[in-house]
Amino acid sequence: MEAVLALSIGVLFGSGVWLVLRPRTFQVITGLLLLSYAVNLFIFLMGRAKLNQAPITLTENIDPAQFADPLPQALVLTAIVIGFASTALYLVVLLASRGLTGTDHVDGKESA
Amino acid sequence: MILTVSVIAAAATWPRDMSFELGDATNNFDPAFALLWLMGCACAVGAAWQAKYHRLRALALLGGTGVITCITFLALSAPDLALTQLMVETVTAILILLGLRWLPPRRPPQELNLVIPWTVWGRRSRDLAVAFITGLGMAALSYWVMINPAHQSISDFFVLRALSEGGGSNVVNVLLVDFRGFDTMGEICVLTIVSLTVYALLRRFRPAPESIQLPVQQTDSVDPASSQTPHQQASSGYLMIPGVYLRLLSPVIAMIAAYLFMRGHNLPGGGFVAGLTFAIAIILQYMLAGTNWIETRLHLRPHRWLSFGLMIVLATATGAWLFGYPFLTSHTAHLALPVLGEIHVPSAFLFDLGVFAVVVGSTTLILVALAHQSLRSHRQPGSTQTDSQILKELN
Repeated sequence: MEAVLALSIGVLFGSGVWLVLRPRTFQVITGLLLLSYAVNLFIFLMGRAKLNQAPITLTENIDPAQFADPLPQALVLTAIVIGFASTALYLVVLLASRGLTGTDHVDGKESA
Repeated sequence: MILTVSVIAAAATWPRDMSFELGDATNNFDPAFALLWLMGCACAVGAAWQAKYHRLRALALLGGTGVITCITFLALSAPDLALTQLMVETVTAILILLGLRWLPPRRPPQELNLVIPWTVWGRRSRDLAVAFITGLGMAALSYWVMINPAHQSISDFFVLRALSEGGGSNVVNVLLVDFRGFDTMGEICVLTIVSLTVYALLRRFRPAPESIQLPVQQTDSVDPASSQTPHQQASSGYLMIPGVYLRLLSPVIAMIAAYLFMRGHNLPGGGFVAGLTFAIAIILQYMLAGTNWIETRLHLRPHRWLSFGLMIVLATATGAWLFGYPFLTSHTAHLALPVLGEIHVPSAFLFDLGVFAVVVGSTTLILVALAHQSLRSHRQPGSTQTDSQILKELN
């Protein structure tokens, strides 16, 4: 399971990096979304992969080792929402740049 | 894609004998999980491949990866993350769909009979190499981290104290609204700032001249839908079935949002996911009946949602001072009501209510501001004002 997850993070990250290096704004936004999936999974897995151990403590006397690590989960939850906000901002900047320069190239002009 | 498939197939057979030696790793290799991520990776690579010429296809594939990420969160004991990811996925898809119209059409070079110069191929292979190496590095790093046992971290503190001191059994939610409340407060400020920036940028938005005209799909003389308003399409046209269905569904979605909100402190749910669910209920109505029809009947005022949300959060945070406690201290009360029985009322509820309002306000503000661009009469090209003159007027 760990190997599958690690490889998947690698593939998502690699695809994201490839897209971020592309010259068209839509490719870059797609790449950023893929990168955010990869990074969110990576941060989440810092708490290690645990099955059926959701951090919901119904009684007071518990052993913390019986639960998945809640801290990376809380951080990733924040990251998901902020990721949405930054996607929205990037999309609008992309559209504005397209309207002002007439091209969807990241440099604002078609390269020769 | 074939490469990915073969790499993952190789990996699927490889880790069995590896993880037995290393001990701490979960030894179970689950073929269903491997298949799931095979699809996830295929979607990601497909999106990377299609993003240049087929944007809609790339967006759909991206959604596939997102859903599989969401299933992974659910499988690996993070129900809160799965819920939030699913909702954000939906909202992001709608967001990008709204933007697609303003991007220029792009046709593959084969159609245009263009020859791609070798410098371009050189650049592409360089980028491919960079992407491959970083991907490999990231995979190696995550595998290395996961097979090593976790060190003593501060998480035990939160797990042990969530119920006794935070008053809620959902540790992730207690972390967000209580232990790390300051962080969440900063986050909703960021959300507010982003949505107001988006709104401000779109107020002066001028699309490229060639995308001002109505798209071909909306000017087809044969299609009766092109002469109907969105509301007519939804009440008597081809969208009648979703029209009835989605209108009946919207109070149900709102109730689910309320349910997710109420249970958030003890079970998966919370202000973020409830806010996103509620915003989706509103956005669905917009998508169905069109902006004009909705706005003559429903006065949403997302700016007020934003300001009320921020004020509630600030009031809850400073309210602790009145009782002589530090900023953002929370308190949990259990009220016994005659019909409902005992209900759980932490002051973190109010904090979460503020988060809910900010999330609803910012999501609807962003999406509605983008949706409005299709309705506005944009300055036609060839008008006498130049861009620099307009900029001068603005300053």
